[in-house]
Amino acid sequence: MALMLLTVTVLLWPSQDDGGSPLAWVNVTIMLALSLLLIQYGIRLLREHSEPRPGSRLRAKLVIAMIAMLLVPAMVIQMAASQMVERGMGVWFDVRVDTLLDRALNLAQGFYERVEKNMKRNLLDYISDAALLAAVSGNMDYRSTNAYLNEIRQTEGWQKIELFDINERQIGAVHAGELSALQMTSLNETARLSMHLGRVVTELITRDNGEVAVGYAPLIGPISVIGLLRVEIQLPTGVIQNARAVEADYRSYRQLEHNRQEISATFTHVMLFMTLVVVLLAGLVALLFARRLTSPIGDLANALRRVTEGDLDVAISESPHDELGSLGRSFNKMATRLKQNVEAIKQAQQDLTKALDNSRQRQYVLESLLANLHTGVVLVDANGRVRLLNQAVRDILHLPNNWIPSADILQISHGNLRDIGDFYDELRHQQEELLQREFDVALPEGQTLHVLARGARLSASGTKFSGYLLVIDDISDLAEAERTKAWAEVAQRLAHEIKNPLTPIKLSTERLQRRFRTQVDNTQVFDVCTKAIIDQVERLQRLIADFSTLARMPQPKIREVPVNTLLQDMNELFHSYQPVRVKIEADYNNSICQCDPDQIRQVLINLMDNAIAATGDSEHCAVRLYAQVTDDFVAWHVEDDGDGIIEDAAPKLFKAYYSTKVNGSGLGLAIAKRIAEDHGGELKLVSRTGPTHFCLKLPKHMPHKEGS
Amino acid sequence: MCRILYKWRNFFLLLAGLLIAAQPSVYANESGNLQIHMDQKVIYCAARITVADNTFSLAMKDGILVTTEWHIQVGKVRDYWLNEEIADITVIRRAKPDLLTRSWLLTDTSSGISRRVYNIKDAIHFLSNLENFPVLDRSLLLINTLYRVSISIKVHAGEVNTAWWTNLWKPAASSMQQDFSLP
Repeated sequence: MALMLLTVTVLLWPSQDDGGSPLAWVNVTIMLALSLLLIQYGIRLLREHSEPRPGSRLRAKLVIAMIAMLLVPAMVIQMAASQMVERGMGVWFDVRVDTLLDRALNLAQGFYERVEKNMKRNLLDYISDAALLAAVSGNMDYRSTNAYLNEIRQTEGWQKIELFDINERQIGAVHAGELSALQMTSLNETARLSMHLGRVVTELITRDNGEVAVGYAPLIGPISVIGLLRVEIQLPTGVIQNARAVEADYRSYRQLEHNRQEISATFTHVMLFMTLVVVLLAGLVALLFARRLTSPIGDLANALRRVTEGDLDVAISESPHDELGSLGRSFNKMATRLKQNVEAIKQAQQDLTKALDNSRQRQYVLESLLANLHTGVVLVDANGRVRLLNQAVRDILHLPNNWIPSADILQISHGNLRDIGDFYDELRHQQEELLQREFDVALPEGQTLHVLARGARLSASGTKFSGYLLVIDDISDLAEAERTKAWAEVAQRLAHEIKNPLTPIKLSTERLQRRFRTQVDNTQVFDVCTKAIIDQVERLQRLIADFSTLARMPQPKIREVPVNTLLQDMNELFHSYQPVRVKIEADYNNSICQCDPDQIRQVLINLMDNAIAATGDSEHCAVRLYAQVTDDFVAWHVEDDGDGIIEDAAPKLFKAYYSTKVNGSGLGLAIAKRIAEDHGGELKLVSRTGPTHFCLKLPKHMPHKEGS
Repeated sequence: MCRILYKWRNFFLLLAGLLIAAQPSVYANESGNLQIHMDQKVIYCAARITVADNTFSLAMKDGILVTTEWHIQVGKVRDYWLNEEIADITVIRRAKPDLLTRSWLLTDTSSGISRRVYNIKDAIHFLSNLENFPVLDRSLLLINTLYRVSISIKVHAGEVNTAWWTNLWKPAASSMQQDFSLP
């Protein structure tokens, strides 16, 4: 429609030839504006093609339909009117009318021509009139002149006759009417022209009382013009009026004919203007009507879209008391109910979410608690199936992979874990609520674990769950500590009881050796016996000293000790032994270790003694002592190329009272390991043989340093 | 109201642009001859418009009143601004046919002088020529300064509508201009 309107606009664009009337420009402007409006409206509809605004399409269809319904008949009427105007113009400016007017004008012009021709012909008779020449020459008196002029006037039928000499002085004048009408008039340009040219000239002069035909006849003397005769004829009023009416009509007709195209264009433009105004008004009314009609539908569609997007706080107007209003009311009721239902669902969801959060929180707390517990926990339901077990119980009991939730505890408790099943079975069948047992569990590595198992029956009073809670604690260290403590007390008491008589025994034996050696028969036997007594006593003294040491291990007195100092001490002690090589690194001059130097020196001496003992007198074997310093630790390494340690002895080396040597007390490495642990470090066997390698590793900085 | 105007601003701008683009079609072409001459005191101009032969004759033979409106402007030429207006003169010449006597009453409304001629060529000459027309006094002009005389002529067939708005749409039949300076 916009393109059609634009095409019409281009076709009707005012050209320079038709003068470009204002109305044409107004029409073009209106059509251009309408075209642009339609184009803009169309572009907007195209833009909203994928997601139109609610009601916009229906509104557009209504407006377009209404305008089209009006525009089509308007254009038909416009075309019909234009055709009628064209036909009418053809009738108005018909050739017959044109010919008729021409003839009428010719008649009028013929009347004037006849008057002028008659006047000219008559005047020609007086150009050389002797009386007139005499009069202008001054040879005739005034009375005779006027009489002659009057005679001429009457003869020719003129109303007025005047005679002028060459100097334009009036010689005589005669008038047909009253004497008052005879007024003196000077000669005009036409009269002078007549005298100048020497020709008869006529002219028409319009006066208040009508039109007069004025004729000028030069009076030609023997040589030249010597005067002028001016005559007037009063043209008949009726004829003149008719002639002028014909002239006026002819002029008007010609004027209209001259403006024929302009008139036609003006009519067309007026019609077009009226049509455009009507279309504009109709379009405006159609737009308002369509907007009023589609507004509730648009509101409803918009509200539905908002509801679809989840916005339930929507209400539409219910003002019209018609089907649309009823639809709006129903929609509002539906939206209200929907909102209430959604709010109820939201409330229930919030409650559920809150409960779930609490449950998850409790579960998280419980799982965190169980995960961080060093105590093993197993939860068994009433059917004997494992519901929960934490990592600690797996670590303590080294549970196999089949220990998972939902497994039957009696079925998976076999082998070394049979005691766990027995404990559960006992708990299940006893009457009491609680049960506590201690038993040993053999681990797969051959170690034996001493565990404390406690069980409780979970009642179903608070929740629907009922079952059994098993708590497993590894109390091996505790039992070992208790045993160590008991042994230390025994050893301390035993040492106290044995140590006292040993010194008199040794002194007495030495006295016997000095006093009675010369008195016995067999000196050799006597020496052997006394020496054996003394050696064994000394051995017993050392053994008791070790017992005392193990039982009452003193707290280390920590101070800063250079690493190389300890190495130099060892070098001084053992440099006399051929196979010993102590490596002292210059880089460790400034390296400091916080330790009790006496205890560490004791550990190193023990390790060196063992290494030297292991090498024996072999020249090919060597003992090496060196240190390694890092940012956090200091490590002393003792290596020897001896026969090494047998495989079975390796795990027991650091246990008390275990020794591979014949005269060993089995306390040296145990004491050394305890010293290392008291310093926060460790003593370990790095390699059993080839070479045999021990490492004493201590932290460079102790957390608490006691006085130097 | 302001919101509506702002909303439709682009639309109105586009419409105005289209109409302005269409306007140059009504401008007149320069056709005619203009000469400036002067004496000791007065600046005269002689102008003649060249139009089609039947521009005047068709109307005049049909007894239609023909009027030529000469609009003469004299301004000082300025390079970077509008010319400074010095004189603005309007001369109206009218030829009123008398079909009965086949004569034309020629009237110069500026001077009030009228005369009747019986030859259409004289009438056309009267309408289309401006001879030795005094434009302005020489004392108003500066020496060695460039001035420009611009003449636009409108031709009216029929009675002239004196309403002010008719001139807004009436295109000039001819326009001409001539620069001059005092020696």
